Amino acid sequence: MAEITTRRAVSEGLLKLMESDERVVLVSSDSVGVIKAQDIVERYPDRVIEVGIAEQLAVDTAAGLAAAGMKPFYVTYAVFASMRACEQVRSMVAYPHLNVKIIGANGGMGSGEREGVSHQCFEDIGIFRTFAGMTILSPSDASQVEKAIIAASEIDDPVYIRTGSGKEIALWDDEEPFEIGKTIVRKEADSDVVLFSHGFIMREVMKAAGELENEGKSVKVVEVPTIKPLPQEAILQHVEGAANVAVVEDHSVYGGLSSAISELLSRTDPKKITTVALQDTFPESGSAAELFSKYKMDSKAIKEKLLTIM
Amino acid sequence: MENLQKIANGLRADVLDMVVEIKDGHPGPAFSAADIITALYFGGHIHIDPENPDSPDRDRFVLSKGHACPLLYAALIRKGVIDKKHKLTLRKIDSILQGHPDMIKTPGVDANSGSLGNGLAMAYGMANALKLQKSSRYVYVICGDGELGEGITWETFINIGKSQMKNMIVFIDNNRWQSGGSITDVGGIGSLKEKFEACSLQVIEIDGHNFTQIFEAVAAAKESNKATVVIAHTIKGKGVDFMEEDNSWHKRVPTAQQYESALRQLRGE
Repeated sequence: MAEITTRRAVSEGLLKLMESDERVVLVSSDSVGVIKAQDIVERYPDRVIEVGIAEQLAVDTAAGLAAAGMKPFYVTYAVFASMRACEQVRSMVAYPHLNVKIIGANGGMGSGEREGVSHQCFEDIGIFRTFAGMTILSPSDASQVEKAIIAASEIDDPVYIRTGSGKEIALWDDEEPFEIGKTIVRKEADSDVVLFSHGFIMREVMKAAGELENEGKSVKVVEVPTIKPLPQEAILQHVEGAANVAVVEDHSVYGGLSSAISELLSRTDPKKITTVALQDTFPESGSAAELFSKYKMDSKAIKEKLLTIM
Repeated sequence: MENLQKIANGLRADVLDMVVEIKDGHPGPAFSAADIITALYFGGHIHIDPENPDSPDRDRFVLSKGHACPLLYAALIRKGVIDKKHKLTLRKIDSILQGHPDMIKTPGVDANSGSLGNGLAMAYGMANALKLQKSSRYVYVICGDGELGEGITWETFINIGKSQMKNMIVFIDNNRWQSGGSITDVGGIGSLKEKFEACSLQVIEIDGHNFTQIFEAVAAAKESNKATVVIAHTIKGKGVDFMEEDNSWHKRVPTAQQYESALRQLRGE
């Protein structure tokens, strides 16, 4: 397939779903442009529910659509889905366990383009992880985003899907499936360090792991695109015998995959966990590369951190 | 109409039975909405099959002012949707009758509400779904007037007007009180009619305790080519003299003597 952006990938997935199931509807809070979905509006004008700049209403509208048998997908920025409409997701979607899919663009600091903190989001996973019954997906390139949209439609649960700025590059084979609840070993290695990661920062992770390998130091890399429910058994198998565990994520150091794995291992197989994530600070505008460099989350910083535990 | 009045007062008595049993709950705001709910459920508007309350082919009802829910539970018990054995379990552990409406636990409850403003907004989603499904069913909503302080209600009214969602009929239980005092002093909401008209809505003002006027408003809403909001002027605590217009009954439990007196009044004795 021709290379598409991580945002347009959402629309590609939605178009396939809308063609095959007339219950699928798109809810927009003036956010059709976020996923470049003008063709969806033209093709299915009745099935795009546009509420204007009103994220709380958008989530409740999606809840009402789902309660009456439709399959709504709501697209907005991650920061508005998780914070502006936080209570609506919690009390009107997660609590009644409605079949609502929420797609958060600009997930992570690096996906925030040059918009700055108001449009970046590094708290979403921490927030949604506390909502009972919520599934959280964080795919790592455009092909995986499109497939995650389709995979999410196949489960009758509330799902949050994190996506990016649109600028993230393709990392994997287009034919690779997206399977909810599965971990993916991205670099096999005879190593006592196991690294877990998710989302578009996988690019930095793979670069760091590749450079280390060239220097004769190997690390096993495991992608965890389903953050909730956490694939606990798979993670425990991956860490078996490992001396050190590392987690790299474009999220706050609090509440994300790093926290989830720490919680799991602290009660099952305690190990030292080294984390590369956004520290307790608000970042700023800048390109993804500049931000990852300044906030010590680029491949160089990841490599340096890994060297301290190898 | 006499029969409907009897039903409405019966529901009010049921509310008191529940509140007295658990020593908790909101009688005042339930009583102001009792006649509207009675008109909708027992006056031939909300069609719901007690044997199959989840049927997609049903009218929806959302009590957006969810704290008045003992009234909704009483109506659903009388309809035969909720088994009457649950009546006195309100707010107790393991009960299907939660302190605020829970659409999963309670048969016949169409929306989670109680977090003010969200019931109305969710109802807008239901109305969109029914429209897409080309259903002839309606979505009825009762909002509190204090609830209109929530910004999301105005997000919703703007959108009801924008899309002229004519399968949605919203009643404002305009009892002029909210938890902390009068809506003028606390919320400062001001004139409602102009606000709704500015949202391109048809506004009908009625006495919310007059069944004829409630029915006329529903008929006018259904006939209109505009989406409608009904401002129902009501009395908080309506039906029991010492509760009427006394906002301490927003959330208060009657003494044994008050309970007896209230039941006598509601029975017309």
